[in-house]
Amino acid sequence: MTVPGSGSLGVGIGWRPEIDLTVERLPGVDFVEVVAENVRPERLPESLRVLRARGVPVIPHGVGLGVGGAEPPDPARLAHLAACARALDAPLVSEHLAFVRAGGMEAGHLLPVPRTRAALSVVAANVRRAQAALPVPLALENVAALFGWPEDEMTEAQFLGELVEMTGVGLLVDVANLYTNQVNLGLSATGALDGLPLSELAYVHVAGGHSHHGVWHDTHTAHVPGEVLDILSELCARVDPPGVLLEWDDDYPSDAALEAELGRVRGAMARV
Amino acid sequence: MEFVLFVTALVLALVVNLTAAALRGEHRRVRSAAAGHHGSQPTPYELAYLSGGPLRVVNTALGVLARGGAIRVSRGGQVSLVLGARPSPEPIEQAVLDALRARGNSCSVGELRRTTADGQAMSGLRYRLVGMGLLVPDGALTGAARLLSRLLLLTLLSVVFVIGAFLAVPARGFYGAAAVLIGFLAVAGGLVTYLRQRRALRGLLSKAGHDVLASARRVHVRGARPTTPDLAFAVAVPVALYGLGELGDPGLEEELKRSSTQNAGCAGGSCGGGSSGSDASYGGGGDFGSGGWGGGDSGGGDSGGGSSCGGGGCGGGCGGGG
Repeated sequence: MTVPGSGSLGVGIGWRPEIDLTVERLPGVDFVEVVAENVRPERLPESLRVLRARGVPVIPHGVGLGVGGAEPPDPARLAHLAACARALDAPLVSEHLAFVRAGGMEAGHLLPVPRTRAALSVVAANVRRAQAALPVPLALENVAALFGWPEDEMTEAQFLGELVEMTGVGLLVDVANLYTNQVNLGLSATGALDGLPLSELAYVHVAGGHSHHGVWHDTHTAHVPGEVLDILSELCARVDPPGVLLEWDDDYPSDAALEAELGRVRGAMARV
Repeated sequence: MEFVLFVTALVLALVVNLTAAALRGEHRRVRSAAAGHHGSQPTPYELAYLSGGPLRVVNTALGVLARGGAIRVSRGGQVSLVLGARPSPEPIEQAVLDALRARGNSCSVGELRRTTADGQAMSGLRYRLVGMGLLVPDGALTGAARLLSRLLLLTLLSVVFVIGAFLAVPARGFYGAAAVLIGFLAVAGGLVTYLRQRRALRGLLSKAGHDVLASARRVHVRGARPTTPDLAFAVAVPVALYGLGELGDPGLEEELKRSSTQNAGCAGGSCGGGSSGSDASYGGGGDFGSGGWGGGDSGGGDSGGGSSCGGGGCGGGCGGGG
């Protein structure tokens, strides 16, 4: 089954202003994703307009909605996401299953949701509000957690599975985040893949990072390690993903290196 | 009265003419007096300086580094250092890389141009060209500059004379009409010479410099795109001689040019109008707009000036984990 809106996206890369020309020129970029908070829908960057004119799908990817919070999502942020989706004629919008603020304080991080029954009902309500405000389907991404809540009643896969079932929200699986949780929290990535409702997969994120004193930092600033590509291959063995997107956010390498990285992603997808 | 005006007009025209001739003579003398060039093969950056001054030099370096994958230019003219970029043996290119590193690996192309054009590598290049006899040394033009000011003063005086003569003698006989006509010719001649020489006296190439540049242009014809992986031949020499139009990458060229139009400042603070012909300042070949160095004989173009940062966002947002 394909999540509505995701269709067959192919292989893509995160669009960033610093590499806009590179993204436009890279061969084999089937779709891109743009951080929604970094664009103004009424004044889209020229590069995104160029890509849209070529028919390249552009997915707004939010980082600040906080559907995992105790409070309902901010209507202004939802309106912004909706406006981005309309301006970009996006097939879907993606966000994170995380909370980012509480009591008026911004965390500055994508924090894990307490995986309890009570939290699930709150998050489901938040997701439904978001879905009602958006003109296109919503997909939620698993996060790289810095910690786990002691009162967790479910695994992330179980939590996401129930959330998908309750709301029909799509799934954005970040295999680099699965790897991060495996290294830092001891949570099996393949175990997560076994439990996730992959039939509702909208697309996949891959990214590189750095290991520092035994802790994996999902920095999006390095080549994707083989272990992350292995998880991608594992995922592809279970389901044919509608799209796979490389995230690279700083310390950009040469165009040739980025092209080669996309080739490695394709290779991992074909390694089934 | 009319005869007095006639004689005054003749004297004025004679003085303007003599001053203009002296200015042209001084210009020729300075150009020819530079030390002789010993025939060594000029580097692309030496050609770039001769062809378009510091601005062309920086644009050549930007073209080479961008095409070589050491820097990345994004829309709006933001330049960033590519991860893993290796040091360059070429001082100008290294100056660009150093300027980027000093600014957190990214800055606007305008800022990069200004920094590099004012930097030590550029000064070194200029001194080398002076030493080779291809550029006229600083200070050699003092006499010409003084004559240029005198010519402007005389031209303005002639303007006042023509207007005065026109108004003072309403019913003109032969001498009155001749006085106005001669005065007008003095104004026209003085003005044309002044404007030409003013352009020509900026960043003056010596005769040897012109010869070297002309020779390079005969060997490397505009529009001929060498199919070699050697960036010195494929990018550096064409851009050095003819401007960014020869970069061989229309998208990159457009961004580098567009970024220049956002701010009309000029590299190194040394703007000048275009010029061409035998007594041109820099050799021309496509620096454009409101402050290129050469201009004149080509339709290509480098860019000057600065730009604001491209891209940028409008919101906050959370960090990693996404």
